Amino acid sequence: MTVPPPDALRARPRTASGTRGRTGPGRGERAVERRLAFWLLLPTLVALGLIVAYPVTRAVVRSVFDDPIRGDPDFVGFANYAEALWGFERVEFWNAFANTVLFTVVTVTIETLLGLAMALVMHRAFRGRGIVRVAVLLPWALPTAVSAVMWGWMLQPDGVVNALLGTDIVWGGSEWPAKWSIIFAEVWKTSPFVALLILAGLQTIPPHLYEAAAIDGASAWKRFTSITLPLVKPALVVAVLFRTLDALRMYDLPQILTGGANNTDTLSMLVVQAATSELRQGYGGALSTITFLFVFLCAFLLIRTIGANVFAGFGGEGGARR
Amino acid sequence: MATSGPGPGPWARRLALVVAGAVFATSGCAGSLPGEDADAVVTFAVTRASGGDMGAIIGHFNEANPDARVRVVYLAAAADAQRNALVQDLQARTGRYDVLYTDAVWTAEFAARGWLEPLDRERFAGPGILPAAAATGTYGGELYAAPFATGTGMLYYRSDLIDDPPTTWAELIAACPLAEEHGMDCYAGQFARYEGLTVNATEAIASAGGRIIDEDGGVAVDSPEARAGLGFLVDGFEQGYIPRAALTYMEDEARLAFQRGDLLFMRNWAFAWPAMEEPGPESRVQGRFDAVPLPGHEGPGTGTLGGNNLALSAYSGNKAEALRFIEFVQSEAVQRRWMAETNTPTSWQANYEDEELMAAAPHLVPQRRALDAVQPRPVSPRYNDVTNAVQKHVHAALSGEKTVDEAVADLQEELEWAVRDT
Repeated sequence: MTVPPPDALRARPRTASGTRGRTGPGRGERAVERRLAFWLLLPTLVALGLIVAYPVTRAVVRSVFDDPIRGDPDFVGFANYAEALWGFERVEFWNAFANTVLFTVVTVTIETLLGLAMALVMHRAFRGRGIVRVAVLLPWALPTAVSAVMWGWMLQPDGVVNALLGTDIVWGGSEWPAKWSIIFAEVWKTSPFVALLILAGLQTIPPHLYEAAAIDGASAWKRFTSITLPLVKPALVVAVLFRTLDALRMYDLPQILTGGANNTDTLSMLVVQAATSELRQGYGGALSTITFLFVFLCAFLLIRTIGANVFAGFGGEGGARR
Repeated sequence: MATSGPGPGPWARRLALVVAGAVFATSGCAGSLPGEDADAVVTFAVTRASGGDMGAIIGHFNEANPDARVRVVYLAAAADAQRNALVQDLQARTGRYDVLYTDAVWTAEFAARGWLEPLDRERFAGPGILPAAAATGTYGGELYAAPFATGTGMLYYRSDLIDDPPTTWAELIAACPLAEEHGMDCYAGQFARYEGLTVNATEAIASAGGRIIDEDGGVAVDSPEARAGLGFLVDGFEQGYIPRAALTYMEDEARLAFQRGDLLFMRNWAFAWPAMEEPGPESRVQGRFDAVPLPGHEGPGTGTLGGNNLALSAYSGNKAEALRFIEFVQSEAVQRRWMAETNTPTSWQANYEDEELMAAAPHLVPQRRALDAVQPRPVSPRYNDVTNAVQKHVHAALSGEKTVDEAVADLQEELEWAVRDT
């Protein structure tokens, strides 16, 4: 049996578009509002320009110069990019690239499923719900560096993880144990974030939809797939988008947990290593520009494919679209 | 089902308050240089992790030198963070830090970039100073940093189980069945992928007569000696005389394993001694261990040098005063006090003949002997590229991803690339 799209659902976008359709304010009034909007936004734009546009531009400009030990850098065109993409550093670069993609795909997938489950649990009314919410959110409240150090201790050869599993694995001693420990710690830490966003989405679903569906005899699974999932999708997409962009820039966790040993370098780790440790700002700038473009491309593709309705907002047009 | 109405519940509001509070708390901490001493003319940037009472030393100096008052800026404890702070100051040419507490391996990099003022060798590295320590302050034949704290690796061994400590690797390996009998592992050093791995690899390679980078700055790691040195460590993991867990060991992890009684031999710095002698349940080896210079391939081994020096920023506006302060910190009396306080080796030779001092810190006797056979870590203005490459390829060899031959060949190639413009 299919649950017919309830009236309330239809009503929402109608009100939203109704606002748009209504005869708006007069032209002069709108121009005044626009000007006001511009002046209100100006401080934000200036701040963004200073803290985003300027450093990004500087890094891009710096990336076409070389890194002499003494003297001024010379213009070298795209040599730094070539060095990373197919030059001497290509093995290191493509390994880091593959690791970054692997960590992102695996962690975001697990986090989304886990986060959804956590959110559904947190959303239910039961005794001790407050405690469950706090427990679930605690990992997210810990700074990543702290959780990395904590996992580092637990994953030591004589640590608690091996004791609990009854194993003798040296987690930092070979490639896949090291990669799994990073994935595990990352999922542990950031699933609560996904859960939080999805929980916010769940709370916007009007309870009477479920009541109506239950009266119509829809099973719990049917209610989940036909009401919960479509209505929570905008929140879910935002969560996936945020997490993907975040995971693509992963730095602190692998840096502290493995230091890049056992082929666990990520792109951001290479950037920091080149720019601040090896003082090669030109090459580091090229790496950061490549990373930036890659993250940007991923964001663009994600929004294009799954998140066309993200910017319509919660409960807006996107909420009802099937 | 859903109980919360529209808008944030009380729970969410509480969370928001906590977050807002945290934001205010952190933004309140953002401060400038601690300006306790407004009359100071010299600023000394030093790590917080040194262990000794730098504040008291500076107090003494300020009392005697009212015209050259020094104020101290404490940098992060971690060496990398400390280096970042210094590099930022030097790159910006602010001259905000006059005297820099530098790590032994930063000398070449800082000097080659023109960030350090050359020092008078007679005045700061005279005959009273250990030649090994002076070497860490030297780049291109010129002294750029006044030697202060120093130190090299030693072989710690369980004196209750071993009578004659090994002087060669073959002797060490021959003693390993004893470890097995007692349910212990045989040998460990610092083999996690970090700076300590470069230290251990340099020592192993030097102990077999090899070098990573030679005196002229050429890469020399693809040699039979380097293969033999690296081979000792790789064989250790393969044959089991080094436990696999050591792939994650830094200084403290190795020390903890030794003081738990899990290791027969350990390579570590002098700092480990007092910690392991400390009474209490933390250590099970008090009075049951000793240390000797490192063993080598076909004879005694070669340690590498750690330590900290005092350098003068090229952008300092008060060089004469700063030099007076460096001279004071480096003086025999201050170094003696520092040695007594921290139990760590310093660069003034005569202090090792001070019986009272040596009785209080007996581990400095073998440390002094070990300091006679040392080789610095690779000297290069691109030291960080070099050490990153060493760590990467050596760790790959130790964890079995690469053979010794592959690791040495790859390292040679990468190092040649890294130092191509030096």
